[in-house]
Amino acid sequence: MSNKIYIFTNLHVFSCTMIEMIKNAIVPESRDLAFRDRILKTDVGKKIPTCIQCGICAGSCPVSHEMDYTPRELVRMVQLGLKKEILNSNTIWICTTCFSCSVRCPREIRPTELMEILKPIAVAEGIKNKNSKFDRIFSDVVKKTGRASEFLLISKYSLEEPGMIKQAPFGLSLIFKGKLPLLPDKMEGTDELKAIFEIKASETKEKEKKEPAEKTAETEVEAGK
Amino acid sequence: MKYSYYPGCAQHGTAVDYSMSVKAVFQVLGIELEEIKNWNCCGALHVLDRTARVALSARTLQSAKGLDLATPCNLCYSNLMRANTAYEDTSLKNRINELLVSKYDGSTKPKHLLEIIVKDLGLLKLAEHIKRPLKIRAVPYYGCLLTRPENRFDSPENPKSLDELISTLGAEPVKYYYKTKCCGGPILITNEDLALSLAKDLFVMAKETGADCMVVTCPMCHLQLDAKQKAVESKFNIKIDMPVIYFTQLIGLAFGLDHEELGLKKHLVKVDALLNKVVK
Amino acid sequence: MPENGQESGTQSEQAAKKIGVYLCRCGGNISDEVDLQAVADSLKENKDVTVIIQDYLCSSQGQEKIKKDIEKGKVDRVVIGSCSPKMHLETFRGIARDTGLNQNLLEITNIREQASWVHGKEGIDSKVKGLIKGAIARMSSIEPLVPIEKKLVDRVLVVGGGIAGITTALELADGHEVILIEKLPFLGGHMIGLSKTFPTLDCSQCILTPKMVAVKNNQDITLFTQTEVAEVQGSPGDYSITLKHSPRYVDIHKCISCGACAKKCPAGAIFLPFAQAVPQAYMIDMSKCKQCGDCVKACPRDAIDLEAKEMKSTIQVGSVAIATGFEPFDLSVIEEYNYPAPNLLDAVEFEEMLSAKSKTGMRLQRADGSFPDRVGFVLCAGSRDFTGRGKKYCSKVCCLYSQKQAQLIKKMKGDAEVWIFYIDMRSSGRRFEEFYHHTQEKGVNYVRGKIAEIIPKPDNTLMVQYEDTNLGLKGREIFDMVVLCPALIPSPGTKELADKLGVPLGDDGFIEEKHVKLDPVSTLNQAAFAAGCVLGPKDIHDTVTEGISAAHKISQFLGKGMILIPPEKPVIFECNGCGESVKACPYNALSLEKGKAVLSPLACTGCGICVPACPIKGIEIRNFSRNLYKAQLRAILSEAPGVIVFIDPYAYAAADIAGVNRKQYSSLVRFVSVPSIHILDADVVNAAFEYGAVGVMLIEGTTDEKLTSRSDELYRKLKKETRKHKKPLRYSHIETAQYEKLTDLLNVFALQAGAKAEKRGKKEQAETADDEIKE
Repeated sequence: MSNKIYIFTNLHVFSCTMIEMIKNAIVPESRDLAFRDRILKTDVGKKIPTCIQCGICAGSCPVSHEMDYTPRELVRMVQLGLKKEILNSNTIWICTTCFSCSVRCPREIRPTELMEILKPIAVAEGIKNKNSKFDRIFSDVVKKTGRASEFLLISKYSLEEPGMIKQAPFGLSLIFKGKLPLLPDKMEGTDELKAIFEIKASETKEKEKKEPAEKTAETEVEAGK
Repeated sequence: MKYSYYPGCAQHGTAVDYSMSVKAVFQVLGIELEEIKNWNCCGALHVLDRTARVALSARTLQSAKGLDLATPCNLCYSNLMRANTAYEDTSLKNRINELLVSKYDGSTKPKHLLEIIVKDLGLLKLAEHIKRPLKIRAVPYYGCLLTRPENRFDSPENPKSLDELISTLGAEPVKYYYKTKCCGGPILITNEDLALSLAKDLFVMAKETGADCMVVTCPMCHLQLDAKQKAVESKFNIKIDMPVIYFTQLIGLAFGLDHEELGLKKHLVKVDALLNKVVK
Repeated sequence: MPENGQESGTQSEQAAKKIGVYLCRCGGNISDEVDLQAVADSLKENKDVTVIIQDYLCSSQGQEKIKKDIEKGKVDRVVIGSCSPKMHLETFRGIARDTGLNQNLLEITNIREQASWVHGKEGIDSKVKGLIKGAIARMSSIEPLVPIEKKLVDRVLVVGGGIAGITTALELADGHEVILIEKLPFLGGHMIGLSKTFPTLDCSQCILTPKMVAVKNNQDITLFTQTEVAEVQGSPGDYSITLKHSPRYVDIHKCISCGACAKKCPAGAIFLPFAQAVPQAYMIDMSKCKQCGDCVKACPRDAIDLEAKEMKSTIQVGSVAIATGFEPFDLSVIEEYNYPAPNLLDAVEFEEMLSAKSKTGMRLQRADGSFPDRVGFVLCAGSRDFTGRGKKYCSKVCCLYSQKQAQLIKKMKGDAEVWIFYIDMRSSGRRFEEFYHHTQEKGVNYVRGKIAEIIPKPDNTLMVQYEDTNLGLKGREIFDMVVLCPALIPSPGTKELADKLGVPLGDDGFIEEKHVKLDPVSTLNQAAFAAGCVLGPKDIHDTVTEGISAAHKISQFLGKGMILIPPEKPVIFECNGCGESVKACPYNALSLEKGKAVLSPLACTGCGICVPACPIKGIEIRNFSRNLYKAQLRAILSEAPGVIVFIDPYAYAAADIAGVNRKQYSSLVRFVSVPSIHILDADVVNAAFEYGAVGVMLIEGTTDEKLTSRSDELYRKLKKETRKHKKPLRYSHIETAQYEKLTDLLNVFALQAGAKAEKRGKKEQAETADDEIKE
């Protein structure tokens, strides 16, 4: 919980020098409204403004104690548009996607799906970690073979994460039981899958082209207010 | 009864034992599972782009050709269900259909094998095939994705179908409050320490009940709870020794099928004690 | 001669009507969306009309203006464009009464709840212009009528024997005859199950028991326990109500509660509910009774009858007070709480343990009899939930009573640990924040965060998991006892009773007030009033306040002795004696006498079902005649095409609620009020289509089965008879509470009807173009 932030409500009392002095404060500059609006516009995001911060999500989450920010805090941060803090936190990568928070939230916010939305944004912003590596390898394998062959996944991942070598005995025990075929399972003809995976790439590019313009416009509006 | 069948990637790998027992049990039940041709991975939790993830499942659902689509895996099942929900958004539907060789109209019903046995076949019909009522106590463990987020066939918090199945087989389903808690499977590779601690919680709670085994419905849960059980034991320095078996294996045992045919020999945690109890 | 000439001049002026149209800006509520000047300008050509635009017509200044215009003779008929008639019709009709203008000659057109609050600017001006023109067309040919007077029955039925019903009954008994019925075998409702009451911590039974005894001893109050309303007949002011009495098997008038019966009973089936119970009489739990008859023999007063059966009786009352209270929400729905389990209670169960109804001798104890050293309270269990699983609203009293319960525990054992898990601590109200402060001082541990799950452990302790949201840390605790503070919901049977009385409920299931703020204990039925938690969760103080208010309103209502019945009844101007209308009337208000249909106006509800029933069109409802509707429709649609929505008063109320909630819908929608949709026939609907309606809807809100059971038939008939227009016609049943459903429906229908009309327009255009080419 090292990069916790502190909330000061009366922002206008801080002079510029004070803002520089207090690094971990929410100031207008820390809020990215274009980012916030992008999230709030999605199906999941629509409900986010109605959060009552009850903490059911974090209390239900089996792994929230390992997160930089609990799911509840993440929702609050989206409300404020704290893009940098959100995308750099481990929260979205720790989520096991068990949906406990989502079925219990009294306001129909689905934090699980919020994480799912945030992950590709983080990747597009250049965030790299074990999870994003594995996700990328997984997508590559599926794109090329149509199926997620466990042996192929693990061996590719091990090349990038040398620590995985510790798992070798475990892998051997599975191989011994006939549970880890060394020849990858493949489907025939993966052109269709390539198309599926490539639509994503083209869309992202389009968005990137549009986004900077949008952002300035919205910031101006906000400033005008 | 006939279904299109989507085995999912694990059935050809770590869940080969599950696959064996499904084959054996469904043959006895006379339910035909016709494997769809040239199926693809559902994307699990690792294809981050939503459109691509929905498209992968849409392609699979489309291949069902008018039949309900049976699947043995909680994760596949959840992805298929969510793809159907996503398909209610017409613009997304149209965009994805442009990519698919055969368009998908959103009408295929995905069904988990447990759902097929409990709801479609019915437990009374199942009971007709029981040769060897199981005098054991079992933990009904559903995992997280069987009934979440789209809780179509059972409750997202306190499902009962597996409990009912276990008692139909003559066994006692123990009261288990963690029946839909996450096993940690999805983060096993990237965050093993955390994943193992989640599994530990499940085991501790299961041991408290004094049950003979845990019954699971998902290959990922099985990998985590069976194959990784030893890792949990050594990491937390506790003795667990809890057989973890697929619900189809449990059915197979009650049907009097041979345990090797059910893939029970392929487990990493020994099931000998359990088998002794069953045969007795 | 010149004098005569002058006089005749005046007469001709009188014949040309002087309709005053008053448009209210409503402080921008209307004028921000509607261009009222444009509306006024559109009426310029009509020589009969004077238009005045004013801010706040309902203010004394606004009222004075209308009054002066009438008194000066500038105006002899009034159309007001303002908020809903449900809000201010009575206000404005007061002006009519003051000036001697017949009250029918003043009507309100709703341009706020059903226009400015629910549409954007697009299309709104032409809608309002049309509506006002429609109202003027209607006003031009309306006839002045005198309300019919009916004598009131000076007797009140109070339903519910909790603190709300007790207060209402006692307040009324000084001057009126009261029948108080209670479903349970004893008085006191939930309050007798309370221990101490916040914020003063005085003992609940100490303050309630004297009132219960007062009810029993009051000559003017007849008390029936184990009694419910079975059937309601008659009309406001003059109801004939059938009561259903379940058997107690012990005659409460004979029983002296000596207890001889209980000593003999081998099954423990006969008992006194609790020591202070009123009525003081034993009762039998038939699920336990072995029918041995020992108690009958033991009773010195011959009070026991094991053969007793359910009985019915009928009472005549003029007014009904609904005080049926609340029940706790079923917490087993929240599965992750695993309720019920040993030592996992709802707050009502916790409270009862320490109350007059205690089964533990007023000792706080766990399932094994030990004292709970660690207790957790969970607020908002099933409340503030928008998923459909729980209730949306805040149950209001939990923040305070849980703190009271916490204080009681601390008083019993100073070192007991008490945790209160809250989301927002809501202690607004006099003396409440002080109470919160005091509880804090007692060392209660407050955690801001709702418990996410509760796991019962084998040793009957409870493990809870939550996030301390002030710290952003997940927490886990073990408690000896956990108390869930459930959402409070209307008690079972509320809807059935409300339906029988024609009283609408809100979408939360509580009774809808006549006006949320200004008329909070009246309902849309002028003879039915409500008090206490049936109007929403509240504490004892507020309940008693409402009980007193309801008694006052009822007293005022009955004090008039007479009730005015709307004069809009059928006139039978031609009759061939076929008897069709007599057959059609569900209220037996028509009969055949000497070969002609005759009306008994007091039985008539004015629904209008007789109008289309008459095969020779010999019946019209006064001021709701076919011709009047046609004139109104023609004027409404003269501005622009629209969707005509015929709407009955109950559904009209739903549209108003939609307005109050600013639920937006298409400005194509134009409501036309009907007493019930059953007044309509193909004549009127076809006229709507001919004048340019792109679609017609029939929206019915009444829950009166005598009408709703015939709606399908009506719809099918109209559909068939208006088919030639090839325009959409739809019927829907919308109860007052279902305003969201209403707006969804209106939007979908307006979209479809609009699209269809557009398509047709294009086709016609193409056809004309084709024709031109051909020519």
